Amino acid sequence: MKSENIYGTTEVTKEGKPLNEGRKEKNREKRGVIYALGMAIIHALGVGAIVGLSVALHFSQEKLHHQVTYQNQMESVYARAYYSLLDGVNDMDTTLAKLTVARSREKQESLLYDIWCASTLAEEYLATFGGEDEGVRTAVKFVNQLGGYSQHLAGKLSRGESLTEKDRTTLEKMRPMASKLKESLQHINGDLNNGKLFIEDNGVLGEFSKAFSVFAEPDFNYPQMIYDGPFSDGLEIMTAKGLEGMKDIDEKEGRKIVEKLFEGATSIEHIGRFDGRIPTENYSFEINGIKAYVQLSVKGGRVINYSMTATNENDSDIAVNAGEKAVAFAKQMGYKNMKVVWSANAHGHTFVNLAPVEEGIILYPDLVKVKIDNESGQVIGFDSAHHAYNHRKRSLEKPTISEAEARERLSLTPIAEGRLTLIPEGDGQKEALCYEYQCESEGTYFVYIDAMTGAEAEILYVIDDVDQGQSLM
Amino acid sequence: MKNKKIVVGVLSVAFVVLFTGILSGTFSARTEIFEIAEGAVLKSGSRGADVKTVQTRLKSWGYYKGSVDGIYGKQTVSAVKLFQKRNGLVADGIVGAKTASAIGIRLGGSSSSGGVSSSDLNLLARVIYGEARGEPYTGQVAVAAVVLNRVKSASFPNTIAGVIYQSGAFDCVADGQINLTPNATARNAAQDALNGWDPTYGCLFYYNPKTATNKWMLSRPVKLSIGNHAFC
Repeated sequence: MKSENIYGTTEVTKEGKPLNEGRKEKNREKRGVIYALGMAIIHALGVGAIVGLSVALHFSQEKLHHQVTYQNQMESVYARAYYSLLDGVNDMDTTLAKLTVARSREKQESLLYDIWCASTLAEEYLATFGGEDEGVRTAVKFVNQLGGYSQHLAGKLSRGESLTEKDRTTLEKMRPMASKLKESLQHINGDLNNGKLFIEDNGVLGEFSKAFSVFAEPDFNYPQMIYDGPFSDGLEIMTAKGLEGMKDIDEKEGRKIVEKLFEGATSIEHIGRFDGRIPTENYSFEINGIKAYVQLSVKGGRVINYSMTATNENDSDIAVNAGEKAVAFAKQMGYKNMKVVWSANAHGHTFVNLAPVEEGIILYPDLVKVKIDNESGQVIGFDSAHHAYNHRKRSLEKPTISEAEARERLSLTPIAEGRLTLIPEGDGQKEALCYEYQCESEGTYFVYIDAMTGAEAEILYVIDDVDQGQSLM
Repeated sequence: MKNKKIVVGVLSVAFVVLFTGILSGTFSARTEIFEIAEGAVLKSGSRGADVKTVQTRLKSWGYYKGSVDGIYGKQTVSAVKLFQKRNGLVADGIVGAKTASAIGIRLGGSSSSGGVSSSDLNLLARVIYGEARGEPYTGQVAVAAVVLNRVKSASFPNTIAGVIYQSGAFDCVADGQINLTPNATARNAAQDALNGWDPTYGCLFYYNPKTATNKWMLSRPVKLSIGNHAFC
């Protein structure tokens, strides 16, 4: 092939193609590659989009399916809770009605236990629904107190006592409230019967707590419930009996107390005041380079709480056992005549409970708790709140039942002679003088026999737990 | 033309591989985190045969000076930290999966601290961790104490689980943080609360004044403040 150049001759490429033709070919090839790349990207995007969309579609459909399943499951959980709650409340209401006409002690007792059961059921399911609403909270309180009070009265009847006029009046007051609760729930029942669901837009779940708004109204008259048992109002208005009549301290006096109690304490700082059931002045300080915190009661300037982090250095008297160390520390804090009554080991710490002994009687309600770091042997925590709540001058009576008589009431043979103790009853609202016996029978039991009546006052069982050390149930 | 097809094919495959790679990457990353969270760790307070093995190895290599007693105490913590520092691991004093493989042991599913455990302690520790892990220690005990005070109160459910899972009661239940694995501090705080320490002296509520919006809650008299929480 020939082609003419500027010299008039013809340039021929090796393959016999003219040069110009070759350049054009190259350009064409370049364009081809760009075209190929472009097509590749378009294809890839296309394929990617299809794959991506189908994966997304697959997952979203699967998710939607899961979501519907979960929603149905939740719907049934709520429905079950609602209908069980309704059952419980209906039972409470009708049993209360029956109780007003029951005359025999046996019938009254069994009805009271029925109310207790019904309220336990109702409470459990009521808690499934919104708890941050005041109306719901008052409703829960009513259900719990009705249960607690019924249990208390049933116990009274089982001991051979009778219901007093006051007991009857209180029960009378509870009845209209049970009816109110029933009404609130029936309102919801209407919605459900009309096909409304718990979980949907404007569903019953969102409206549930509103049904109890009547319980939150200011003119709603709720009687104060004081009785010896759980959920009594008495527990919420608990005061620090142990500090009554003591002089108030101010910030400066507190600082002096800290200096006196903790020898070598430096950079003592007042870090505020707590106004809880036991008002305290709080201080932080350093001892041997470690930060520690202490709370002193405003009344009397007693150490209510102390805590610090253990250091790497061992305590000088690491060999001394935890119990002795706890007693010595309590003494340093101003709590004398304390005896070790319990100790448990968990998470590298030993928890020692101490109780004061008066006239040979161990006072369990007045516990002081000490926490010791096992590694260093240092006392790293101290709490005397129970002591502050309960410790006072008591007129301790002489037991009317002898130790030998009490022992006869046991079903197990104790491993040692019984010792006299004062134990809290009815969640700490009453106290009873008892003989304490430790018994072993496939586990350790502590049995308490009332030193006045000879009744079995309390049975404790020791649970060994890897995580919590030993604990009493 | 053939070349073009091959190029188009190769590139398409590359894109698809990249795409699925990203997808599967996201999934596998999620499982990995899950495994670490679920896996057994040895930490301060742990006990048992695994702790003994760790102590024996660290002792023979000169890191650990204490006795081989199977109790993960402060000396074990510092020995583990030293070992971690020298081996380019995060020096947190906790034997997790990485440290365990560096020491040359395999952690079983049940270290003694995670083995037979009390559900109450666990639940409380989870609430503390989910609600107050950044708070001072006393503040962590206080959160658990509020749970226990509610159990005793008439206005709330009567079990620890009942109080914690009461609808709307705790944010960490609503946002799922309750399902995180609690650390040793949270467990210790739970133990202290179960043992009767109540820094709040009977409080039933707490809130963060910076973020709280509930008018009723904000109107209640605050009895005390610890860290970011006001207790009432």
